[in-house]
Amino acid sequence: MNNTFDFNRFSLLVKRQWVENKKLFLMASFGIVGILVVLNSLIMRWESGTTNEVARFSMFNLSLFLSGSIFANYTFKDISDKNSSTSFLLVPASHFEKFLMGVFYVFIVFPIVFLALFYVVDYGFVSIGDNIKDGSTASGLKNTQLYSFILGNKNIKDELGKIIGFWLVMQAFILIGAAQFEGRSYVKTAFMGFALLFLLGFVIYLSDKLLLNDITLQFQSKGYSRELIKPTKDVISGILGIILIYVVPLMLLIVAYFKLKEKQV
Amino acid sequence: MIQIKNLSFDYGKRKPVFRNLNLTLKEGNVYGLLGRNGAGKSSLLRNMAGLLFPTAGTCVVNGHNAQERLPMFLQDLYFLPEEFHTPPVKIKDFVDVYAPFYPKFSRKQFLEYLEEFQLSAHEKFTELSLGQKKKALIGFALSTNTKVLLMDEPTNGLDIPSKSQFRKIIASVATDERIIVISTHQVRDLESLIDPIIILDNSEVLLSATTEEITEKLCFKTVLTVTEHDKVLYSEHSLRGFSIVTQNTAHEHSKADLELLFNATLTNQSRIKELFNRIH
Repeated sequence: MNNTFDFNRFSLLVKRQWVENKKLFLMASFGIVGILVVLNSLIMRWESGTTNEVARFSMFNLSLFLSGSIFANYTFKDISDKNSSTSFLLVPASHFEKFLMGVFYVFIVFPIVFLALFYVVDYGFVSIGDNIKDGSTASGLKNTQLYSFILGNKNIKDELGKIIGFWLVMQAFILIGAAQFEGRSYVKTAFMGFALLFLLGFVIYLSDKLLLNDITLQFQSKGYSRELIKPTKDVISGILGIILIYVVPLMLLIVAYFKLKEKQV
Repeated sequence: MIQIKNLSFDYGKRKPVFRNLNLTLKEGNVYGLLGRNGAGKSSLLRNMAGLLFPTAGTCVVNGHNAQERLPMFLQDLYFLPEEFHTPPVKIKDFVDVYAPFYPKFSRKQFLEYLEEFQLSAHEKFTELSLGQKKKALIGFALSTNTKVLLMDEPTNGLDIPSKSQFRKIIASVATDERIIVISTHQVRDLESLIDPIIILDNSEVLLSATTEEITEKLCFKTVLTVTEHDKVLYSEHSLRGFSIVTQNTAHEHSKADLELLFNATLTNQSRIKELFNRIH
């Protein structure tokens, strides 16, 4: 018998999570759609049928981060309450399978469902806006769907990697919080997250000030121009980006796994 | 078999629960785990289930280190806690989801228990009372047919008919291959069922003996007046005089009264320990 991973046990855990939470998941999906509809209604200029892409992109980020964090915390709610964690930890499956079930819902199911819902609402409002424009005497350019806007805008496209990386870090961090704290884990994790973010910001500020400014000064003192300094900054920022997207979430996920494995109740 | 060797456990330095606890639980028995509030009954059960980790020593259940919580270990152990969680689903959905994790689960058995407890598989847990939820979970626990069954205060919240149904059902599933451990305060509810008896207090096992060993060493009787105070290990007023526990020096035959035994053990710890340590 494989005590680490068995696909049958894993699929049973996925089924368990769905059966126990399907009503809530469906209600939450309707809730997300409702909120997106309200926000889109506020963003749209109804008289001209124009919708602001930048505002929609901000709304996309805000709703992705907020609903994603709530969902991640909810997925591991079973281990943030004494009674439900007793039941969850004693389900005859390995810690790895239980952890993977959480990862599956948080990093695969949620983004797919969220993107689908967002796309449907976005498509709906873009179509409504275009219809208003078609009926108007002063018709202008058609509205752009958000995904076309993101992929067509170089600056935003460049930032997309960082946004995804930050989202992955946040989701992994929420899983640690859910495994670490008992009761009100979302609030406690959020508090811890903001404290760490503040600390991280301070460290980045200091390192930037001490390290990069120092490099800048050294370069400038030797008579090199700004164009020569920029690549160095770009390399460092590139490395930090890779660490943010690949290394930090992976490390946080490993920590979350061990938190689950060592969980006592 | 459950083997606990030199197990120490605490909730932080100021709250030691066990110190060097040694205990062996064998198949074919329904163990009764008794102790005062906070004596560590639930903690011991949770150590056996791998939910709490010993600070020193080991707890090995069916050859597995409990704290590793391996699937192979978990599929042969069921723990019913005193306070439990039930998902907001129908009983039948609960069984559909959880039963496949237990290879020896019997649906036929489960439906029989539900019928015995007058529950329907189509009822939702959210619509059941605490006692009904507990009965459904007891039925599920017994249907898993795991080798080890741990129950923390299983009769709490059950009505009088359900308590007798519970005794009947437990007696019917107590096979030679199974270890059942029941922690309880309600000794009267389970007096006819639990044997051997384990009494915990002050971070240690004060007594671990079968009722046969207990009645061999101790005598439980009711007397009008208490004489020979030095021989009496415990006495208390009763309707017909005094209920007393004495050392069974005359090899008298008496029925073990678990409540008296418990009180006698707690009030006369050193003598009881000395008496039972001599047996082993």
